[in-house]
Amino acid sequence: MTPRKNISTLEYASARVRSHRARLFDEKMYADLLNADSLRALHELLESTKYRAVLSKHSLQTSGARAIGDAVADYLREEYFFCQRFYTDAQAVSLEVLSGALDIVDLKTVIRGKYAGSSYDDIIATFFGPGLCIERSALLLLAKQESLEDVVRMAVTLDIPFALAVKLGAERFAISNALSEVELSLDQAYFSWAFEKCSHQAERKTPIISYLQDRIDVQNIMTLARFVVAQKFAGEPPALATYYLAGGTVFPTLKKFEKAAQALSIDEFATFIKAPRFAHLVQSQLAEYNVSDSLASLDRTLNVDVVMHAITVGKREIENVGVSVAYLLALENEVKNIRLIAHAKAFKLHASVIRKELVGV
Amino acid sequence: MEEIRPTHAQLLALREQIKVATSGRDLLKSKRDALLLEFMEVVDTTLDLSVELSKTLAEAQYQFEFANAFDGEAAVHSAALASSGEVFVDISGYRVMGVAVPVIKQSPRLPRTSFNRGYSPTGVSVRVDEAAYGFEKAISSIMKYAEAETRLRRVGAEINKTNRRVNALDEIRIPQLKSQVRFIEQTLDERQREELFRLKKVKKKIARGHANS
Repeated sequence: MTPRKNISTLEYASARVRSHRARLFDEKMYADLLNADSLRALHELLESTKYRAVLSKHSLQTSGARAIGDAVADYLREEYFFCQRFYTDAQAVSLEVLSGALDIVDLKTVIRGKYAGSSYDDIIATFFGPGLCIERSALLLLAKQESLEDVVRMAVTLDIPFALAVKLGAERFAISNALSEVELSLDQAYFSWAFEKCSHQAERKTPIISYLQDRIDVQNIMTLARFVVAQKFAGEPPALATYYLAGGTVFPTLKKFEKAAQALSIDEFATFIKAPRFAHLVQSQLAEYNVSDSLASLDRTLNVDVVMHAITVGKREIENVGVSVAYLLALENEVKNIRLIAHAKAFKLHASVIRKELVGV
Repeated sequence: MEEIRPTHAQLLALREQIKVATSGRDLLKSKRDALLLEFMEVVDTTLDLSVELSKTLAEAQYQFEFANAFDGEAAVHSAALASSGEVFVDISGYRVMGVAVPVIKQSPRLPRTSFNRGYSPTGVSVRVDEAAYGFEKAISSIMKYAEAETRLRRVGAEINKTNRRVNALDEIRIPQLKSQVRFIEQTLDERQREELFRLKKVKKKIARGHANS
């Protein structure tokens, strides 16, 4: 009998996660999905994959592209929990941080819904986050509150993550009547919370830190790009300093961020980005921007690069949570791709149009 | 038919009425022609705006589907809640050939920039932003189209009204007045002939009386 190899818990976790990673769609599968004649054919194809269970569950509740979108999002949520159970302490924090980026969208939905006076059902209809950072039950309770003030009070009472940021944002909102104040407060709080969590847990070496830094850089670059474009429109310019996210490497200080905002065009703005990786990406998209007058391509390129970089770095790190981070990011890409194909099928778009929008294929 | 007194005064009054009705009809015809010119111009503008509106809505719908597909319904739905709000319209107006035409001004001015749309641009993708921009542009187009269509409807209604008036004058009122004039003229002529005949009779009688005496 062959003696069992003594492997560490982390190595075991990485092996288990890698087995799931092997089930990610390959190029042939994507080609089949793209060549599906209709949404129904796409649904049938997906039913022969790992998404079968979630698809049959969601087909009962909704239909069409929405059912597919909800089902694959549900699968992503399940996979977060699958990965999380292998880790404790420091490693678990990384997944919590990763989940936080999605959970915070649900928290924003609650706040935005209360601001718009939407119903409970309308608010919770599109909850997406895995719930590792902010528990789903807490979000449901917040969605049940009558007003924005009640949400703030309940968030503080429940002591959910970012409760103080919500409170601070709500105070600013009361003065300026701009909901973006609450959101900015949440975005800033998320990144400082994430950095603090990782540094406390001695997670500095994991890819999650560089991923967070990259995301901050991308958000700062896109904020400035939008600001430069918005200058074409009449009206009072926004207080740019409030939109600055600290912790990035491209604009390490507010002063550099504000200096780049003085650019009069996107071409000029590109010269303010000194980090070679991002400078190259921005430069490569200038021609596309000048033709289409849209920042979508730049946004997509930057975000895809950040995610693909994190996946490439993470999947090699079997002795920490990197493999799980890489897997979950790759799965998120797959979810986005399937959603994109489903919507495109519903919208009767040609496969060649969709193909160039797919991420990581 | 109304009762007519076949008097000379009535004849003069009727002739005056015919004159007024004819000049009124001519004025209404000029108004109708001017309104038709205005109508043709507004038709062109409205058609252009209708094409523009269809195009803007199709683009917005495409951007919305794309954002939904790429960023997920959660992100789009969430951003939509944050940027929801009321669009106030200020409706004033002016007159074209006596027709009240509306002028619609919206507040806040649409489309807005990503910095004053309600959500924070740091947490929303450009695709969601462009979908919002597309629909705000569509709202702006709807306002312009509504203004042009109302103008078109009102000018069209006024043309119909003017046409009916011209026809009423041309086909009913003026012929009616003319027939009344003819009736009075015939009656007056008849009376004149009777008077002449009577006078001749009297003259003959007087002459016969003189001859007998």
